[in-house]
Amino acid sequence: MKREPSMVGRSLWAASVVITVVALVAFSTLAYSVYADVGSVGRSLSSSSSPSGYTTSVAVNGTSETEYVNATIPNAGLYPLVVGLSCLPSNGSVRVTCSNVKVTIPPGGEQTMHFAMVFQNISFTSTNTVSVKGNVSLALVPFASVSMVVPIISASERAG
Amino acid sequence: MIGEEIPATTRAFRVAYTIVLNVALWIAVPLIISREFASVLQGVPLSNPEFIYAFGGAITGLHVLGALTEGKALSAVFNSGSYVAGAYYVWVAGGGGAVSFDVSASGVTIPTAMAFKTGLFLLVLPLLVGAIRAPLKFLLDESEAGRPARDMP
Repeated sequence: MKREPSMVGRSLWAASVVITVVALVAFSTLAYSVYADVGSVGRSLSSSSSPSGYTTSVAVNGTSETEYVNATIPNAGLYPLVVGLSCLPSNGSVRVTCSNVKVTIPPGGEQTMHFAMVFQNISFTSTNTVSVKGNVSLALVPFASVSMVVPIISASERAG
Repeated sequence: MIGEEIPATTRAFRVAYTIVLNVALWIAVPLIISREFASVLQGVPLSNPEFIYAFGGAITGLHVLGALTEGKALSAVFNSGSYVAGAYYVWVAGGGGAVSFDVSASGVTIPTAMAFKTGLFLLVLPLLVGAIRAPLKFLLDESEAGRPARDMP
């Protein structure tokens, strides 16, 4: 005897179809966003690209030096991109402190990230050693995020 | 369908189809992922072939038992169990949505942490819905087993 499925049965079936379709759409758009963002952010921050996506300037004041980096980061993906940069405590004779920056770039837009690093206790008579690592974080809101601890500067330089 | 006898050939075809689909989905694809992304998946159960074979085999077995007992109450138990096992497998294999690994570039090791809880939840959600749907569908079908369908226009 032929029976028709119940309303609840049909609703459950429709719910699983909708969830599966949403998951598929989310993953395909996420994959495209990762691909597009890696390319656009890489091109923007590459020193070989012209014009370069970042500018630097240095201000010296006594035994301290401040380096400013302004980077314009585009978001070619389909989800908001959150970029963060901060420094870990430095090692060496030179003390380094950084500004913690975090920008949210809307899809299709771009944002300029203002980053400053202050180098203190620079010696003009002895060897300066500096080693600082930064925490770089990238997030495609709301799906995924990556954070990396990368060496920003590791150098030893004799004064004079 | 409840109360309907499924022909042996149809049942055999469904079992074969279930085996092929589940082996591909739960064993072959995860093995390829674990091989291709071995460096990223350090410390995650997905990097362990034994984990893949054990869970993939268990999920495939439950699906096959579900196909063999189709139309019976046991089928709902096996199907629901296979979905729950699948959801647990995906969640554990993905490290619960947080993975840590080291990237080596130009002789420098970069500690990297990745979080993708929302993405993983999207993968698990259809399986959890399936786990609820299997017994509910059986109960609803059973309660309406004796009711004739309305005439279709």
